[in-house]
Amino acid sequence: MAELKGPNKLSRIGFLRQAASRMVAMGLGLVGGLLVFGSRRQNTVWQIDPAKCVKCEHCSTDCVVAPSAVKCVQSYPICGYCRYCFGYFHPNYDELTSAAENQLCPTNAIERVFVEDPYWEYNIEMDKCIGCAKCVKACEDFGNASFYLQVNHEECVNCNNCSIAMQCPSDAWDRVPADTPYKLKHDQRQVVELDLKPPRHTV
Amino acid sequence: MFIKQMKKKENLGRRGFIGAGLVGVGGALGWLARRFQGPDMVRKTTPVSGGNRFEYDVSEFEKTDPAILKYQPMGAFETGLESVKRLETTKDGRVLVAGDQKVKFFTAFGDEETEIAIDRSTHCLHMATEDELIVGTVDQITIYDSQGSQKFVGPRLGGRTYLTAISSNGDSIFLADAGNREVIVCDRRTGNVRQRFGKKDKEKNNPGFAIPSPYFDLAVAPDGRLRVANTGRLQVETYTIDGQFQSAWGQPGMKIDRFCGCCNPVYFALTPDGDFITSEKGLARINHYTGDGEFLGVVAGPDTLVEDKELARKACANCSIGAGFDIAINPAGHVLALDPYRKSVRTFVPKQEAST
Repeated sequence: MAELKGPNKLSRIGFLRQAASRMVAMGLGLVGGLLVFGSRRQNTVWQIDPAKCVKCEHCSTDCVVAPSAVKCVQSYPICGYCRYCFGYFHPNYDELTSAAENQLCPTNAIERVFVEDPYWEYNIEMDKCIGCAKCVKACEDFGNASFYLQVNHEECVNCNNCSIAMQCPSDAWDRVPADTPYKLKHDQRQVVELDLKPPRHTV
Repeated sequence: MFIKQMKKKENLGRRGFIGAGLVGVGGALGWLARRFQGPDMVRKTTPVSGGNRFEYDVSEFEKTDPAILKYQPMGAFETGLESVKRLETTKDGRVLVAGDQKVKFFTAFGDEETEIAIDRSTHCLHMATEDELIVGTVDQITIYDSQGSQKFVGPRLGGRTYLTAISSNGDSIFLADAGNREVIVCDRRTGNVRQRFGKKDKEKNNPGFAIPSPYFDLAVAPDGRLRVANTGRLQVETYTIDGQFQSAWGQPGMKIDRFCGCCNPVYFALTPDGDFITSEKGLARINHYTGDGEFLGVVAGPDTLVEDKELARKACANCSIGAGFDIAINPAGHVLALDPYRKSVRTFVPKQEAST
């Protein structure tokens, strides 16, 4: 009994000190745990779900990167190779030629290449595309919906709070695993076909 | 002294042990927090709505100029089918509708008379004579009499065959095969294939059929030649009945006198004078052209055909190929349109007739 009342007896200040230090230790552990085991977050990047995208202007206007890291991509297996491509030609076009006034794209980012009568191939020039989705909407309304938007990970800086995702009216923006960073309409082989790059920035 | 130091060290060791334990517990909690957290949250802000400067706007093409609108709606009746495909009229004014796995017969006033059950989805139908109805499924035709009794079952064509239209002339039946992008000519008595044509052929000056979606219509015109909707080329083409290409008309574009979309006209009907009534999907519209393709006027524009866009969107939620209004002309010269959204048959009459 005497030993219990001896030097091991904890004073009030001592108790508070010990409690405080243990709480600090626990907090440090929590932070450490989050840092060490938070790998799930480290390996995700932003991507657009084409099934949810409503083709508004936000992908073009709200990205912190200029021009936007969002680009139109072409699904070649879905494309109809139409002579009269609605994603390419302005509704009020005069002739089926590549003259600027006949084109829908505001930045001339679609290349039209003759394949064989009556088929034409349409390729997106990523460096010119601003992700405005005009061609995407037109192709979906009148064609096979082979054009769609994707985040180009070569340009995306993978912000923690993506400014486009914050504005997206249809919740089309998702975090996806960094090792499969594209949500493609066809299959992942298109990553090579479309020369889509792996993410440069991960959070 | 040494013992005191030892005791102190022991005390520190115990505290250190507890501290390390707490760090471990914290770490585990951190891991659990990550393991079971929900999806990454986006701190949403209210979207700034200042109009879409990149909007793809085709609304000007959805309105029809009253000056070129030559017909007006005059009633409709429900088919009672879940999905409707093709429409046909008989010389006595009866209306036949193919849809689901059946063909329904209606009087000219829309009263249901009878129906024929088909074992597969009906793709197309053609009233060859007053007592001969040819019904096509994906790769086979069956001939019925006017009472719905089966007279003949053709052989299955198999492979990639995807029948979309039927017509006939003499002892020949012409089938539009969207799967193989060909016209198949069959013997009317045996159903055997006599000829196929439609592949690109420079020697015969045949441009080849470009059919991006399962819409591929054909009909034998009063002049005895075959008219085929080469939808990928946005043209109507004329062929001799042995498959020799002769001419084509039609321009691509959204303007009212052109064919819009990836593949149009999806359907057409011929008047007794040889004029064309064409139906387009995408920008749904039904137009009237002469036999040479000269634009005469509008039967019904998008503002008439698709009054309820929400209904059309819901009705077409699972269709990736769009929906077209099949058309037929009844003995009175009225244009009947099969509404794929309302599953009804709508009648359009010339404005002059409606006003008298």
